[in-house]
Amino acid sequence: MSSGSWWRMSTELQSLRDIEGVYGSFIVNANGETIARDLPAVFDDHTLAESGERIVRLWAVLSENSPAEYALIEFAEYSLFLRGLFPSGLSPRDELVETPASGCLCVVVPPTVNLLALRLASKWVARGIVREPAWAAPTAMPASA
Amino acid sequence: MKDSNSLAPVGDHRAPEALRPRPGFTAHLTGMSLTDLVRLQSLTEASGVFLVVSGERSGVLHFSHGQLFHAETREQRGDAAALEILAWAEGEFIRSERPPASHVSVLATLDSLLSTALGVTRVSNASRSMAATGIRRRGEARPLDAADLSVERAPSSPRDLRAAATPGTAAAPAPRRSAKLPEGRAIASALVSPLGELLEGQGAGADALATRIAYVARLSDVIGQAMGSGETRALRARYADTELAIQPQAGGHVFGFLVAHVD
Repeated sequence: MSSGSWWRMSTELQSLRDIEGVYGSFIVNANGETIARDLPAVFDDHTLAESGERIVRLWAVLSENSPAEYALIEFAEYSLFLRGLFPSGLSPRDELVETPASGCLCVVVPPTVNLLALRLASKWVARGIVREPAWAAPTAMPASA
Repeated sequence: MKDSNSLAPVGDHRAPEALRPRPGFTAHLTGMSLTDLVRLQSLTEASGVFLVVSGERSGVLHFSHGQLFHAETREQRGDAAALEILAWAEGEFIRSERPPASHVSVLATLDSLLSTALGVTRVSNASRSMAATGIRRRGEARPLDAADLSVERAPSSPRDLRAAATPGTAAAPAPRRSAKLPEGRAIASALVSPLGELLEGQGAGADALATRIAYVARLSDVIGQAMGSGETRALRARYADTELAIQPQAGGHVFGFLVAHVD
């Protein structure tokens, strides 16, 4: 993946911070590799590498029978909002597509986040990301900023 | 619903001024369902503690600005207690002057709880078999849930509830429910042991649901550990027509349910 593509996806992620309380976000591809991030340094690459594959697997299990729109895991410290990224994105009518997700958009949020706003914001970010031709390429991302 | 000063604890345990009932009518209603009374508290954004007595069973429901944030019975607390209480068919709903709980234990939205209680009648039995849940939630405010807005406000419309609480009609039977009842919206539920055994399952596909929630709960725990975010408190996934909710319980048990939502 080109550094230009990586930066464009990171810019997309930064827009999620418009939602009050959002700590940051990252994208994992189908292999669980982090391909873009907008997160505080406390979430280092090793941390994301350990969790990425499991996040993808979790999404696959949740979407086994029908595609999920989103999932929200509430942890003791914060919550993790997940939205699948589909190869073809959402249909023009914004319907969930029946193809397996090729990755996940992951947003770290407080329990008090405005979920309605986050749902819509993440949908738009997901659209922007899947437009990137090489978004799911399993290559190493540039070093964290 | 009635006020009961006899329930007021003495000394320092009286409710803060802000949580005392506002001046107004005291109602003695009969024929209303507990779910309607609970919805009435939500509708009027009531704050306070309500004692629910059904035979030899009793429990408390804590509301803050219409949000059910804590529930407790002799054996349960949190969502499990709320589900147990809401499954009771008859009894008394009494305003108490107990102080409000200092923490939040109810995670699910009121609509989800009511749907589950109405559609999965044996949930409370399953929950009763467990130890205290110990579910807690950090922070005081519950985020605005999409389901809060999308789920139909049945079983009673706000107008029906107001009418039922109006003097002169209060003793009438509970408002007739519309054709789109929450009954049946709860599709399935499952209680899974730490060893992956299905302890209690309700609805179609409870076995498959149990398998799924057991694995999902484990995966989310591992993700939480990897990210240093602590234990999983709850998980929910929203689908086109349904919502899956998973709630870890005390002792490693996991409770999950699938509810149809109406947009």
